[in-house]
Amino acid sequence: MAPDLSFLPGWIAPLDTSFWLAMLLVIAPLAGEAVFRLLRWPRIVGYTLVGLFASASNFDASGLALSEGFRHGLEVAMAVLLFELGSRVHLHWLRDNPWLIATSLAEAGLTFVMVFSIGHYLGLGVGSSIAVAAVCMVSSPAVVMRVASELNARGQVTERLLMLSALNTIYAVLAVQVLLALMGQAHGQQVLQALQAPLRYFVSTFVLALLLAAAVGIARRRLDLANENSVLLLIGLLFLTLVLVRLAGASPILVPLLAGMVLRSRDLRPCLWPRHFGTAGGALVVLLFVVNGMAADWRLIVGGGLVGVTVVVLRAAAKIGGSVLFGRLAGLSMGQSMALGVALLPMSGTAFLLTASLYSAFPDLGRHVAAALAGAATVMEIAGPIATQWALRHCGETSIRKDVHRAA
Amino acid sequence: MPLEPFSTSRALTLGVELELQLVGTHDFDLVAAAPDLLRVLEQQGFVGDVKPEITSSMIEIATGICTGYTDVLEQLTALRDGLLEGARRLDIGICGGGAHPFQLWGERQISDSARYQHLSDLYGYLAKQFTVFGQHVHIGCPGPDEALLLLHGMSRFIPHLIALSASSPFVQGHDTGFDSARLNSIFAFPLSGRAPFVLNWSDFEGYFAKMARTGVVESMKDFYWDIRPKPEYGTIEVRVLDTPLCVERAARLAALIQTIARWLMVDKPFVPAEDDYLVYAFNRFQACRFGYEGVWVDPESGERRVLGDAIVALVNRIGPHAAVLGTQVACAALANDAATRTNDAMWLREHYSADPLLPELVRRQCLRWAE
Repeated sequence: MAPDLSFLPGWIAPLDTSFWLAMLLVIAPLAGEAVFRLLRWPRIVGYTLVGLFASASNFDASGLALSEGFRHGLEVAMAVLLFELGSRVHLHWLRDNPWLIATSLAEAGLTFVMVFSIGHYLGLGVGSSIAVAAVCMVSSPAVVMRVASELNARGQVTERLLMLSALNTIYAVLAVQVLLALMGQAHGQQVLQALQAPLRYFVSTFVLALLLAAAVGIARRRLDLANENSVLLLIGLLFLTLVLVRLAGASPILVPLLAGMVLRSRDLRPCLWPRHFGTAGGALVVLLFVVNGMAADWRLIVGGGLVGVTVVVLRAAAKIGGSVLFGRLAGLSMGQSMALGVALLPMSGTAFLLTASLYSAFPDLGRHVAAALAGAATVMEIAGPIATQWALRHCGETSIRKDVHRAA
Repeated sequence: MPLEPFSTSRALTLGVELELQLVGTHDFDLVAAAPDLLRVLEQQGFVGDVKPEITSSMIEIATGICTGYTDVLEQLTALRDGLLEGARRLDIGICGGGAHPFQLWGERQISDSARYQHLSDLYGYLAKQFTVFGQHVHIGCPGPDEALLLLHGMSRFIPHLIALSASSPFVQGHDTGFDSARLNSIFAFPLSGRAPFVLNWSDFEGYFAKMARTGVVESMKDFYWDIRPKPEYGTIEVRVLDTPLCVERAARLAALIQTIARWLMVDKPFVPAEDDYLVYAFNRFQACRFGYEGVWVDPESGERRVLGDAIVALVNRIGPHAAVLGTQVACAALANDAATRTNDAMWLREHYSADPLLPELVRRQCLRWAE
């Protein structure tokens, strides 16, 4: 924590991390509400803006972000959203409507090819271009899940949005792992040696996902998950799983996502819990978006310049084009297909998590990728949620429940 | 607009309409998927009559003109299968039942058509409360006077039909204590209830002309009666049934109505009278509230019976007509349900008490519908 506080009275100076954390928790909801009431934007735009301003005004996030407990808290928030998303994905649907698979491959594939090409054209190496393209495939599951649940969105576009977001997240994690294996081989590892790491990664990821799904499955048989106390158990289980993920070197993104999907596919009895697992999960989610905002740097919007803008535009074209391509065959109207493409635009939290794993394995590559992506990601942190909200509203799939007890 | 002339139709032919629930497969709440489903059905070359309803989480299917039970069952099964194919592509659920157990009426969207928007402007929240699901059965009549005679003869058996079809015990998340709570949503409309007691068509035309002159109604569609004549088809339309949980029960109920109609038309077992309606509202309430255990007062003798027993007696009495129409098995199955006091409302309550989670109950309704 090293903000320049010399202008403040002396008694403020010794205030510690917990003070700033508390301040964030006060300011972020206010900003979220302001953005919602004045601009009719999703509240998470407010949270992210608070983060951006905090980092822009020289508020060094490291004190907060580096505290281990805090970081784990944020991972739990991410896991909550991913697990919620996974549990909304109905895999049987892919069997009943194969054109959804086509849509998914089209939107993700087109995005990959387009972004890869522009990266290559602009002189990024093959490895970096693949990495940037993989990360751009992702339609931030956190943002998508959060916006959809804030709007109580229901309908064809919403359900497909959640499905496609889950799938393109999986593709991206796969692509990055394959890239890591290729890079390993290029650095002189034997094929088997290069394959060993991703193999171990996927096996441990899958085993942990099954374990988490089994544990939640048992819990929901015995407990009413709509109840605040039972929901704390779910948060505890996710936390525990994340500790195991770290120990086993598994994927913190895939484990909760797959666990949710396994749970949904195995047992069709509806599982309903309070949004984001109640107030505790909700508070963590708010902080997650604030910190996402801090991690981004508004100067990069300017600095990233042409590359950033090009990536954003091409990615949007690819997502919308991919959704429209098989939209009719998959059973959507033209308007709904376009809206689905727009709703898929958010990229953020996941993108940073993915680059982090690249960065730690190959620092050089990571730096290139981070530089190329930062601009695009920062723009999309603000524009993404607005795009998703617009799309879902446009299709008439939202209903904001009015609280009857609210004072006028 | 004057009342259209009464078309002729072959006596005792029948047609069935079913209003169905469209639900999400995640939370099993109603979902406004009717436009999506209609579009997908058109794409898959669906043959059959399927229409949107007042709110966009409802859909209505209708058979063509049928001759009897087997015909109805075949047509309904084909319609159901086509609908399910479209629903699977959209990952939505379809189910029967007279009311959705936990939907909140305030969240419903009025369908995008001039008529429904007009009804919504006129009736306000009643229009959204009208998100209830019924089975309508048309019976062909040789002429308009026969239609009115049949209508007023049939009306004393309305409680029987309510108890047999009742499938709406849960409304807005609570057990209402009623077997058919759906009808309470319909009673709220000013033009609900029963048709005026007139037995010849020119009198009926006179009544309609007077009502039309007051500006209260424009067409027969504005009357929400339990049974109403449908001059356009040359039928009377019985509208009190809750949509059953499966097509087989819907076909059985249609067969029973057809059999009662034949008995009334051929045997003329009694002459309908205005005074029949003295006990009408009481009988109907008893059937909605208590199902088979309700009290049924015979409008002629004033004798009080348990409705379940009255149903068994009715089926026995019309047995010869069932034999002629080939509806014995269907009628016997319903009589057996009445004797053992089983209906869909009971099925719903039993499943709910075994697993008290309303979304799970709706999921089971969807499975039952697809069986």
